[in-house]
Amino acid sequence: MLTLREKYYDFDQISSKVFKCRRDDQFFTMKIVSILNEENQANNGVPYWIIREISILKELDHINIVRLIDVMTDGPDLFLVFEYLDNEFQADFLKNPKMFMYPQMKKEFLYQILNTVAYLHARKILLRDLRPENILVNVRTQVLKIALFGAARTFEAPLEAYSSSVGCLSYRSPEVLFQFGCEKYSTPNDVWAVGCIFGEMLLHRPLFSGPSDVELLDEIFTLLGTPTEETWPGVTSICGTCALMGPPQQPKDLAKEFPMLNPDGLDLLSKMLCLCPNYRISAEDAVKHPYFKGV
Amino acid sequence: MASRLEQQQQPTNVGGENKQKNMGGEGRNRRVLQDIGNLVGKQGHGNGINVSKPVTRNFRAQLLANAQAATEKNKKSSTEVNNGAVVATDGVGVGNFVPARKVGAAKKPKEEPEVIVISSDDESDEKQAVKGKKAREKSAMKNAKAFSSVLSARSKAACGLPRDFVMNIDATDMDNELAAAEYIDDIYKFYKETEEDGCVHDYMGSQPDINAKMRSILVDWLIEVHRKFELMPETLYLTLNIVDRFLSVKAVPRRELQLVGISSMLIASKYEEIWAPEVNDFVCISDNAYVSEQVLMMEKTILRKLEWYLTVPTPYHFLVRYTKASTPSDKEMENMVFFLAELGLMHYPTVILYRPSLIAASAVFAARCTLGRSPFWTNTLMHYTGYSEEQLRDCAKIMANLHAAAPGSKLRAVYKKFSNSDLSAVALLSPAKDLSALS
Repeated sequence: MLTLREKYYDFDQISSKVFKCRRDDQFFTMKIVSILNEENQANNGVPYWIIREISILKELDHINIVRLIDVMTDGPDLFLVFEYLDNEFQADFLKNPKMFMYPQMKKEFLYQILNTVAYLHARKILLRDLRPENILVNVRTQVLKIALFGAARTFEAPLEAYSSSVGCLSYRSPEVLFQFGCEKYSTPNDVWAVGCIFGEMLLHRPLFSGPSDVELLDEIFTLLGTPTEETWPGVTSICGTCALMGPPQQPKDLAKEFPMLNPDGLDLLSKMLCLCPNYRISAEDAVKHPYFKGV
Repeated sequence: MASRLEQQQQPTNVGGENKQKNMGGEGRNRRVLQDIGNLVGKQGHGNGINVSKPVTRNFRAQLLANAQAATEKNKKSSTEVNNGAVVATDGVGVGNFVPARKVGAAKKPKEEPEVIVISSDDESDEKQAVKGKKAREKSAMKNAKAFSSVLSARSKAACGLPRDFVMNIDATDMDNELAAAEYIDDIYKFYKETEEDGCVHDYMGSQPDINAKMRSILVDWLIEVHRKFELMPETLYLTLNIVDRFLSVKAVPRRELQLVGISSMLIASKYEEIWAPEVNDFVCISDNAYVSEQVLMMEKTILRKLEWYLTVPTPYHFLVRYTKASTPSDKEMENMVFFLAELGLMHYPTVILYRPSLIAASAVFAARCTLGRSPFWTNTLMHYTGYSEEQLRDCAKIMANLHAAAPGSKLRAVYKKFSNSDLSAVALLSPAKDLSALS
């Protein structure tokens, strides 16, 4: 079996744990992951998130997902070899000023994100940590890639209880913030995150940015209104949520908040940011939405 | 008349409040048994015609012409079409009764095909049916169906349930986001396509130091460990999948077999659980037979050998779905299915011979036979599993035999686990006596 140095060469450091390397005439990106803990002990072996990330990535073959090519071990380190994305691919895609030059480009990228999420859900994978930092884009070719599957996991239907402390706070859905239904959440959680990214694309700032669960929920309800039994059946029976919900608020007019959106766009955004997870649009249906006519 | 036709074409009320008694024979000069046995069992017939519309004169002639061509090609093929109500199903939903029109005598083709017999409502036409008797007897021998299955199909038809009625098992989940109903068909299609990846070939020949009996002892112990740690059921199934796949690619000395077991469960726990047991927990439970460094080394070896492929369909994925298709929210049934499946997983030949979806479907079939759920195999189950009763019989028979042998077996983890009242004590129930006699 070939060792790491025999298989790959011409290492070129990109960041502290990421290298560009070569094999034959092809370039690759290599990510180094240490399985040692803070005390430099591998007392519990390979971290669970690495096991999940690698095994999930090995299964996927999609143009909008960064492809994992190889996994190698060397002492206490794991070396994950990914397809090489040239300098034109910028991480944290919403920080790219060129992103906002053409409205059609936003629509194109949103479509690609939803298409990828639908693909993952059809393969029983929850992303759980979808945010702009994990999305790379090549503005010239208009190709988008989702990276980092550390928080992803497979799911069974009906879903079990999964950890509710996942994902960047700003992109967490109300049901996760509520720990709705004993930490059970599903595919709508990812759709909510896409809705937040959509809003961020339009406003050039995070849609919700509260520093804590309670403040974030307050921001959400300020924009979308406080949920009621009518808009979210079962919401009032959630233990301890009355305190979280605060005083009742009416939903704002999204047309005024997002004047740049046409009626189809407003309809899609409102369906993705529907408070009740049961009523929220699925990624599969969102891809077929009239907003994407002509994409 | 028109209103009556419309009424007949409404989907059958299944499980509804105001069930109408069977009015099948009303207003028609027809004997009872003919009346309730008038459903075409299969939609697609051997001659390539999809019988899902009324048998009109033209259609009958087309059937005969096609049958004639088919006969010349292959004398052996045999199909029988009954005149009367033909069930048109839309694949998943409710079968609709489509009233058939009376069929006049079509022109006889030169060579009377023996393969198709279309009986009319008239008594006189029974003579015509005799002509095809030999062909029918031949085909009856080939596709022998036990009398009880014919009766149950007829009684179902008599109750107003089409024989090929398929229940939509996801209908109630459309408003439950936890059920992921909109993706469920895609998910199971994907499972079926990829289940081969998780299958293992017969590897004992390449294992110089271990045998099937040792594997059974290991699995028995792992089931106990799994229960002690109170892990999720999918963790157990993934553990055993990892063990088998690893043993199929690497020869393991006898003294390391238990190490492979605990390392596999460690990996499966990290993959499936929210809070996985730690390495030291596994070291303790194996009575310090190994040190943690050995477990960590084996963990890496297994992951490398399996090339990190852990997202594989196991019988568990299919068991959940097929149990739902059998009898939703029937705890006794569910526990019996899992009991039989776990007995099957302990049995090396079962794991080697059958793919995960077939093991799951067989467990459901065997459980229905054991608990006397009639009919033993429904069209709904056939639709969602993709397997017929015939395809499951051998594997189900093995499971029934394992159930019968369980009380006297030295390996008692599964039996002990399912003798518990919190799992409906299904292990204590009498096994299905002779699956081959049931149908």
